[in-house]
Amino acid sequence: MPQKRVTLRFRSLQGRDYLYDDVTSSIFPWNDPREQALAREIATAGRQQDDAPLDGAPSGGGASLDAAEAFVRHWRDDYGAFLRDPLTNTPAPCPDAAGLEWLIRSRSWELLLILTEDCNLRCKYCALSEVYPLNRSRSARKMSLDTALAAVDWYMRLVEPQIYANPRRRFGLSFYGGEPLLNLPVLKGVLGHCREHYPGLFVPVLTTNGTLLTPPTVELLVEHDVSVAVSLDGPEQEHDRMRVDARGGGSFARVMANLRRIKSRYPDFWLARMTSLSVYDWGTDLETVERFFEEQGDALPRSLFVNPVSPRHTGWYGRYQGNDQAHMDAALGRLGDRYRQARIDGESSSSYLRTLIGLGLSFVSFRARPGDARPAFLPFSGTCVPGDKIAVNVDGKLDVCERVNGSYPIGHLDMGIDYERVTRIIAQYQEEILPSCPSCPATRLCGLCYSFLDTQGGITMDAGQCAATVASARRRLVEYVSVLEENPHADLLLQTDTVTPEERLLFLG
Amino acid sequence: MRYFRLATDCYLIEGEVDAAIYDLSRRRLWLLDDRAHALLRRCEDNHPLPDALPEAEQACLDALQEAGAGYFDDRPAYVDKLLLHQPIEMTGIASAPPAFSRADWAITGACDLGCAFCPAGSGDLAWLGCETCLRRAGGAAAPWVPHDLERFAGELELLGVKVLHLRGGNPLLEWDYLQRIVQAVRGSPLGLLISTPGTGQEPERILALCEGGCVRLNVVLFGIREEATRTVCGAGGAQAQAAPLLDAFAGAGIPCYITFLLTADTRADWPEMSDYAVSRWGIRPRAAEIYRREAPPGGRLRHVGEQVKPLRAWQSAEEFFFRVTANPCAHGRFEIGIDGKVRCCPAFEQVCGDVAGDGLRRALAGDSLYDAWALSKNKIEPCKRCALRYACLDCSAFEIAGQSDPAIKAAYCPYDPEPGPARAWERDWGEPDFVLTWRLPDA
Repeated sequence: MPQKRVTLRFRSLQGRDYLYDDVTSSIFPWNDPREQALAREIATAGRQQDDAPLDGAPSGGGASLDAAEAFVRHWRDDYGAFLRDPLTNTPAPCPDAAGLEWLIRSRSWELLLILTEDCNLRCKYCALSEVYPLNRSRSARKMSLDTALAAVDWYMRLVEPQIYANPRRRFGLSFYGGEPLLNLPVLKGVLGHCREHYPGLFVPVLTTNGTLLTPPTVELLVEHDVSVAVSLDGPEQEHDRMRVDARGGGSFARVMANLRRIKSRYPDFWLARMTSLSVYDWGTDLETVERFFEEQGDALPRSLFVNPVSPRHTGWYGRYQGNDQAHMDAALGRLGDRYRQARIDGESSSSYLRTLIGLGLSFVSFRARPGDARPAFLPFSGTCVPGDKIAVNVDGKLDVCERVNGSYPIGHLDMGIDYERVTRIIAQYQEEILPSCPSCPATRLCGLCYSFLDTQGGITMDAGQCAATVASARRRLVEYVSVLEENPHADLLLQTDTVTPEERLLFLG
Repeated sequence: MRYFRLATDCYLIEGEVDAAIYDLSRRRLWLLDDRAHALLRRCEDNHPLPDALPEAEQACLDALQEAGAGYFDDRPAYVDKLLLHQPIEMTGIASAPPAFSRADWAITGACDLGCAFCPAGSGDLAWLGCETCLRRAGGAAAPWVPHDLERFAGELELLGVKVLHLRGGNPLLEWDYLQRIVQAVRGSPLGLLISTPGTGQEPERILALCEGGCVRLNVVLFGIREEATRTVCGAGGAQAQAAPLLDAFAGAGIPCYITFLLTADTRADWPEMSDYAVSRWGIRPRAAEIYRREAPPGGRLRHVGEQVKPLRAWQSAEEFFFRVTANPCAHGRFEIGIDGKVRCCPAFEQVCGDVAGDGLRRALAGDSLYDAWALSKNKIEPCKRCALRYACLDCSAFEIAGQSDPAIKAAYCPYDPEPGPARAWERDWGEPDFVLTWRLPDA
C-alpha cells in the first residue's frame, strides 16, 4: 500500500492558505508553488494524494518554485512530513495481561466513585434517563461505605509504583452520580478515610446539580478542599427549561441560593474550587446564556465545560425543526466571531465564552506533537488506555470511565481489573476504530474515545464520525490561525484562564 | 506587497543588544548585526517589505531563502513554530515521573585534609565543586543518617535514580558506614560513585570495595607535586596517598575518575596535570575550580583551557528544546546534604525539601526542585539577555545563578550581553560551521 498524504489544507478567514501536516503536527503557510512541489514529490514516488485543493484564488504567488521544492524536500527528508505509510503505522499488538497490569499500575490517574444512581432532579436530557436507552439507568441504588473504602484502598495498592516513582504524583478522586450528595455519609466517610490514610495523595472533585449544597455539606467540602462542578445551564428560563425536579419544577432558584451563600461565606473556596458545567441543545439561546455569564461575572462559578446534549443513540433532537439547528449554528458563529476578536484585541471574555469557543482553539494549541508518544498499541485517536481512569459503580463493577454505558466493564472490585477483558476491549478498539487512522490527516487533533464510541456491549464507529472529526479539526485550525495571523501573541493557551488544564482533566468525561 | 518570514524551524532569538537566527534543523546560527536584526524583526512582525528594498537587505533575505531559513511571500502569515512536545507542563494528577538520574549524597563532613577553601564559604566561588570533595559551609555537625539504610536505597531505586554519588568531606573516613551503603545497593541497578581525596584508607581495601563494577571512585587531586598539594590542602601527604591508590586501580584495570580541584595558585599547571594523569594512569581528568571572589582579574574569570565562550551546536532537535526549557547541568539531579536537606545540586543554596524531617518522597514532592531543573538560560542573569544563550554550554552560569552574590553573575562569561564596545557579531567564536554572521553595510 502506498504512502498516504496526511495533510489538511485550509484558508484563514483573512484568505491566507495554510497546510496542517499530521506527521509533524506543524502548520505551514501554504501556496501554489509548495502545493505543486508536494504534488510532484507525491507523483514521483507513486503515492496517494487525497487532500482537496481549496476553492478560490490561490495565494502565495510571490514564492519561487525552487524555494518551494527545497522546502518540501527539507520537511520530507528531515522530518518525514506530509506522508504516512499505513503499513508501518499499524497498532502494535496489545501487551499480555502482565504487561497491561504493569502499564495500568504505572499510569492510572483517576478513581471515580459513582456514589449513587439516584437523583433528586429529573433533567430532561439526563444521560441516565430513557432519553439514552443504551446507558445505565437511574435507580435508587447507592454505594455502601464498605464498597467505597475498599475501592480507595484497592486503588492505592494498584497505583503504588507511581507513588514511589513520582513524588509529586497525585490522583484524582471523583465523586459522581446520579447526584452524589444523596449519599453524603459515604462521601464524608471516604474523605475522612483519605485524609487519615492517604494525606495529600488525592485531589477530590465532585460533580453535582447544586441543589443539595446545604451549609453543613459545603462545610465538609471546604474542609476537605473538594473541587466542585455545579451544573448550571444559564439564566433561570434556560436552566429551568430542562433542569427540573420530579414534579417539573425548576431548580435554578435553589442552585443560585446555594451558590450565593457559598460565595459569601467561603470567598477563597469559591474562587479556587467552584466551577460550573453547562449543557445546551438546539433550543438554547446561547447568546442569552453567554450574556448571563458575562453580566454575572464572578457571581457565577467559573465555566469548566460547555457541552451539547449528545446526539448519539438518542431521539432527543427529533423534537426540533431543521432551522432550530441553523439558529444555533448562527449563534455559535456570532459568539465565535466575538471570541476571536477579543483574543485579537487582547480583551477578556466571559468564562462561558472562553469555554464554549476558546477550548476548541486551545485544543489546537495543545495538540499532540511528534515527541508526545502514545502507547504503541493505541497509537491514534484521543482514547486513554482502559484503566487510566477507573469508575467504580455502586455495586463495585469497574468501568473505563463514568460516561460509558456500563455494558463492557473492565472488572469488579472483588476481583480487581480483568486484564483479559481489557485486552479484548483494546483489540476491539484496534479492529473497529483504528484501521483508518494511519490515513487520517487529523490524528493529532482527534479526541475520540470510548465515551464517544460506545454501543451496547462495546464500541463502534458511527458512519460519518471520522469525517465529522476531520471537519471539526479543519474548522478549529481555521479559527486558530485567523486569530494568530492578526495577533501572533494572542493567548490561545488560555494561560490567563482561572481553570487549570489539570482541573479540566479531572472533570473530563 | 511582499513579506518575508523565517521558516517554521528557525527562530529569531534576541538578547539585550544582539540577536541571532537559530536554524534548528540545520544546526547553525547566524549572528545579526543591528541592521540585519532590525530587518528580520520587522519581517517577523509581519510588516510588508518596502517596494524598493535596499540591495543589501534584499541580498540578505535572498540568501536566507536560499539557505531554507526563511521565505518570501505575498501575504502576511502566521508561522507556527516547530515544537516536539505540547506546550504545556502538566502537574499533580497529570505529572510525568521526574527523570531522576543522579543523587549526590554528602554522607560525612569529616576530612583528613585542611584545605583553606573548604568548607566553601561566602568568599569562594566554586565551579564543578559538585564533582569534588568540597563541603558546604554551615553544615550540621552530625551528618544525617537514614534510619533504615536498605529501605532508603530501595526508595532511591524506585525513584529511578541511576547513580548515587557519595560525597564528603572524605567518605573513606566513614569506612564501616560506606561498606554498609555498598552492601545496601549491591544487586540493585543503582550505581555508586564515591568522590574522595583518596586519603585515609589503604589502597587494597578501596580496591576491594570497587571490585565487581558497581562502585566507581572519583579521586580528587590538588596537583601533581606534593609541595603544591600541601600549599593547597594545608596538610601533607594527600598526593603521596592518592597516587599509589590510582596506581593500584590502573594496575588492576579497574576504571575510575580523576578530578583536579584547581585554585588560583595551581590552575596554571592544569595542562601539565592533565598530561600527567593521562601518561601515568591512562585517565583523562576533569577540572573543577575554586576562586576567591575578590580574585577575578578585571571582574572576569576564564575556565581552564578556554579562551572564548564554549559555543556548540545541539546534536538533535530534542537537545535544542532541552536547552530552551531546562537546566541541562542540574536536570535530573538532587543533593542530600549532611544536614538531610534536599537541594538541586551541591552548588545550589536553596533548600527544596527535608529528607531528615519528612522522608525522601515528601522531601521531593514540592515544586522548587523541579523549578530549579527548569532554570534554563532563558531565566537566569545575565544569560537571558544574551542572544547566544541556547548555543552556549557554559554550565557555570547555572551554578553561579544558584549563589547569592549578584555581582558575580557574569564571572566566567567572556562576552557581556550588555551594551559595550565588542558585539557578538564582531567576534570570532571559533565554530565556523556553526556560528555564521550577517552583516549588512550601512545604508
